[in-house]
Amino acid sequence: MGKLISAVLIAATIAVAAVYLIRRRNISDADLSRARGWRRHVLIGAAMVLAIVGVGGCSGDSKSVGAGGHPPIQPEETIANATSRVREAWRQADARPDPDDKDYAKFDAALKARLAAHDAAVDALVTAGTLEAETGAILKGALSSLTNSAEFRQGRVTCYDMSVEGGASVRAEGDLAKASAELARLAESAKLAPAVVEKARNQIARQLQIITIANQAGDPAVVKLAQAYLAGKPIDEPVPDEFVKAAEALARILSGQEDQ
Amino acid sequence: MPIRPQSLLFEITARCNLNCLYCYNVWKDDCGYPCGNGSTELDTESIRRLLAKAVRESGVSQVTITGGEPFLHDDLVEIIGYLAKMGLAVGLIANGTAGGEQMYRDAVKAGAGIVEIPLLSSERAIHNSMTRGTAFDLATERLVDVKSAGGRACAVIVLTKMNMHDVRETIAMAAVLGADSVMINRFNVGGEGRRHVDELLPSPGELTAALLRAEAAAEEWQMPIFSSVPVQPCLVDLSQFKRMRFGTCPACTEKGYCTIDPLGNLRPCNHSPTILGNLFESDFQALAENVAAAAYRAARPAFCSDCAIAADCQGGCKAAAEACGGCARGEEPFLARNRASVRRKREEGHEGTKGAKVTKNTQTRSEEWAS
Repeated sequence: MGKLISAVLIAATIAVAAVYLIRRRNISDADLSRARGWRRHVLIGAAMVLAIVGVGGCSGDSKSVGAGGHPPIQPEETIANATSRVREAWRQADARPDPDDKDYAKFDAALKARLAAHDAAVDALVTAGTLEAETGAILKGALSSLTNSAEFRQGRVTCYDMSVEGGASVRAEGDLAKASAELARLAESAKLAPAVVEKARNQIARQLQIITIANQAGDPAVVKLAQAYLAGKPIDEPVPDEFVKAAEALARILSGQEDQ
Repeated sequence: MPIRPQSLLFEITARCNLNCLYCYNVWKDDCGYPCGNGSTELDTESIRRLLAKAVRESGVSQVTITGGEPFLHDDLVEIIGYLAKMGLAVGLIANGTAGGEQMYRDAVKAGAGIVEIPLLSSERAIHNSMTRGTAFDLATERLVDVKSAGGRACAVIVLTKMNMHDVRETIAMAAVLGADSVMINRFNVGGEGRRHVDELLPSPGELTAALLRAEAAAEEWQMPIFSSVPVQPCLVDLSQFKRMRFGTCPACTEKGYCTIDPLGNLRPCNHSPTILGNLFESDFQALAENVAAAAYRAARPAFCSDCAIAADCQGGCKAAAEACGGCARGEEPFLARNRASVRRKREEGHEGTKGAKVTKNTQTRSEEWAS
């Protein structure tokens, strides 16, 4: 019903705008100048009122009807479900197959299914206005990257390629402090070239920066987001604002704040 | 039943700017290998066709590009991008001294998920002696570059008599440089390494001590660590390693890998000189299932015939046996040189020799390969 009302209002808006434009084209300059006044204001005003009411009707309905063919979104229940699916996917972002279970195809399929569920849930949250579209895109891209990475890591126990398994891209804070001290020792003893020391120092600083953001966001799982999102980005540039925003959004989801 | 390996190893070029003492490249041996002088290579379009065909026919999900030195190939980044766009995981094995920072960044950006670079020692002189060049400063810098570019860096230690005392410091250095993992391989004889066996090959006792030091360092730095080149449990008691994982030979098997050389020839392993056939002329499955491939898979040293774990251990590295004795069924040098001690232990009924147990951290895959 709401859809029908919206459609009628939009049609009426278009009709009023069309009438106004046709009249404007057909009248002479003299007539136009005479017409300036109440008639013009009434026409424009009516068009604006109809447009506002029509658009308002559509957007109001989108919360219950959905857009772009998505299933209807019931604000409370569906947002909670979607949030829960996003949370679950991120909590399992580092899941590995049981080393004794050699069914890699099954593990790959499970990873892909989890990713698909996550992406659909993020889309639902974006449509519902809970997440910004840019944040949604960052979350989807980052988990996709982590999933592919997990797929890449799992089970490669061949003579050479087993090395790809495991290893956190961003180390723990304590490990970084230790690495920093060891780097200072290596620099002092000239075991590493100055250029290498400089680069290694920058890299450790960058990882500490990521951990700081994760700490501020209140959930260490945000480090995973950082790993994926910041991959391939130069270490000498500041962490982008959109990432900080996405980190905060993910932390809210992981903490359950979005459920309330 | 078709052979569906997990990955392919592609030797994009036979050219290399180094001449490492331990190099296993089959063309470094004077065996008349077809692309021995590195002058014969496929053009980029042919490489694309070759890899597309190989991936389609083998069904792999991963391709690792190696060489020679892959960064000497002008279109390496383009090939990486081509593979990545096919949805494949792409790995890279390089020496760190060819291609500058930007090329490494481009390679990672194009899709190289993991890059393996040797870090042979924390001591510049040892690393440079083993590589017979001035590789240390560049290799250490590239490890950082890979990580900084967003890739996963794997520091590779080839354990020899020259660097085994320094392994703990080397792993610490790898951690400082941001390496995501360490691959620690015992020196595997083949290629150029055949000329340096006496100066490089450690004894089982020396290897055990070095691996224990490596394990302690990996624990200290929370570093994932893998020993890929097979270590025979009758020579080194693998049960004492809790963190380190050991590989066994998966050559040309289900869940294992096959190697494609710079001319499109398929081999069971990058250490093996056996050519199964050329992929431009034959279907991958036909080659992977042919008589030579089946013989390679079945090969075990006669010495191991009454060992309970022969099917898992396979006597170690059969490619090394082949490179040194001409036959994959032979004994590789690490076993041949130490078989007397194994025999002695067997006579004493020492556990871990005859009827040795494959420990949990040994990646036993024979039940899968048998299929």
